[in-house]
Amino acid sequence: MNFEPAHFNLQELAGGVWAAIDRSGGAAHSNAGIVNLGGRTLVFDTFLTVTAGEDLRRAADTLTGHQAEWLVISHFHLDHIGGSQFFPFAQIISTVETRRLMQGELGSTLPGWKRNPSPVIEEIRSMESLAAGSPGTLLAAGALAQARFDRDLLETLPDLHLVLPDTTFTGRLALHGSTRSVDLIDLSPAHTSGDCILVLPGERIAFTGDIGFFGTTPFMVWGDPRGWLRALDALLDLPVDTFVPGHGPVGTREDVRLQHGYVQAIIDLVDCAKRDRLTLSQALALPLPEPYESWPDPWRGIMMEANLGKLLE
Amino acid sequence: MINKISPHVYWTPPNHDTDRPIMGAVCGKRGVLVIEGGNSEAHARQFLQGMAEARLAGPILGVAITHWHWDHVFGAGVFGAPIFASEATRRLVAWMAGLDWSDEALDRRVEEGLEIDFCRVNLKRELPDRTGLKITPPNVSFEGPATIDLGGVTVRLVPVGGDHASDSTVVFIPEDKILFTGDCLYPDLHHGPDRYTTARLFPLIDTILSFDAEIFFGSHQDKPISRADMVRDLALHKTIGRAAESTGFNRQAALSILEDEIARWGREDIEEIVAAFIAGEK
Repeated sequence: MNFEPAHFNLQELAGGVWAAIDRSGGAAHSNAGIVNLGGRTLVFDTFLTVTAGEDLRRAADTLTGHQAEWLVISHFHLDHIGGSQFFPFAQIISTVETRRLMQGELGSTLPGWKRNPSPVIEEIRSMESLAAGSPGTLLAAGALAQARFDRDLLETLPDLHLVLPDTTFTGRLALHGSTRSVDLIDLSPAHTSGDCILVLPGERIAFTGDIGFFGTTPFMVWGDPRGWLRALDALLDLPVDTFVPGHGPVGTREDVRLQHGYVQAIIDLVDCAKRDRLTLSQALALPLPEPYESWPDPWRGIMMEANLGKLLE
Repeated sequence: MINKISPHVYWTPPNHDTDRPIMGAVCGKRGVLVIEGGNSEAHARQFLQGMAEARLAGPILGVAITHWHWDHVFGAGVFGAPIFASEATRRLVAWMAGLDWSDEALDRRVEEGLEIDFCRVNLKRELPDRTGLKITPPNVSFEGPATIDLGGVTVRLVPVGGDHASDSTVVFIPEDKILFTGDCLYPDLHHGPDRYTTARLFPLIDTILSFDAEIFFGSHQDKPISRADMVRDLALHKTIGRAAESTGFNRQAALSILEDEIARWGREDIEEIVAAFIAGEK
């Protein structure tokens, strides 16, 4: 490598297959992937910010010696598509539903935020205030992490251009190079209604997008928890040993099982809260089963409030 | 000579001398998607020349293959673009790419019933010298429908199957209401007499008519047909299939209840289709 990426760490999982893992303090805010298919380069997701996205493009060019021909978008959330504009020669691929959500949800929200980012600024203030109110706690750490995410989003907004996928699929799509093939599999609904994963069967590796949150609380506001369980079961049915999640470190089948347990625990908690007609704050006070109750995850408080707020609607 | 039929779609007619199928080009703001690879490098280059003469702008973003038969595939590598096909088609083309295409090997496959004489004759005419023949397998393969946005126009690739080739895919351009059916509506030509089965053809007919298309291209028809003509043609096939089925696939009995159709469309064509349904049942 002729340059050191500032926003992510590169982890070579097999010859020509790299996970680009969000670096603490960087502006990536999610994970991505680079795959050399033999004469053709594929990139999986492009982080939150244009600066991290540009670094990803440079990494892909340098590592593989080719401009990316294929860019796969796992789902429509901004933290996975921010750098897509730096791949102008790539065919951009997603599920049909992800493109629809990008056109609909982001197409209506993003221009407004670019003109007037006050909702983002408001959230930064709110998070900083929350952190100031409970210094030194996990909640404060989470609030500060969210505020930093929002600051990076705010900074990237003026330069961020929404680039829509041009090739969409349902079910399964495969891409073939001279040395390896990869499968794109639609496992939605899970984290969103349009998630796809990338599988390298020969290398027993999968890039899961945000179906995988390893060691960090999943964001479930756009999700379908029961569909998510089915998607995690589908991951465990794959001939795969190494999983690159959308957030968190590269993991194993055990991490997928742990997350399955977490999603099930949330489903049980929500069912219990609905049955007993609990308020959001009462539901938030319910303990999760171990090991989840003791997770030292700064995102937990913030995410739990957002997730339960949505799931209890 | 390439013909324009709608704001975004161009096509060249088939050539029956060497079984060259119809080829198409869908042109958007981002670039062009070519439909079918052509039956040889020469066929593909002729299409490229037609595109140049028509001043079709933009890079070629892909080539869509409707099914694995040689006449749709052999020229695909010429375009230097991603080749889209169903996963079933990709597997079959990859297998075909490993075959020996010498005269001797081709003759042997015909003798063994693995290839048909019709293909051998046309292949030898189109490609008398096949040394160095390079068959490029598809590199983007799909199992469900796939859609390609060319900028202002989209192309939907939908696997549909059928008697002719179980891997058949159709190519739909919704903005222009055009459907390229490839060979999917033709009978199976590769297992003895031409064969239709009601089990495969009837659901396929329903699928084809479910597309909101007004213009239909069959790969070896000289020109496209209107929706009205397609509906009439497919209804006739269903009528004949039902007649064959209801008479226990008895030729005379089936023909006797198809007298109106025979009077209207001619005996030869109706007899041919009845025979295909009977062969398909065996």
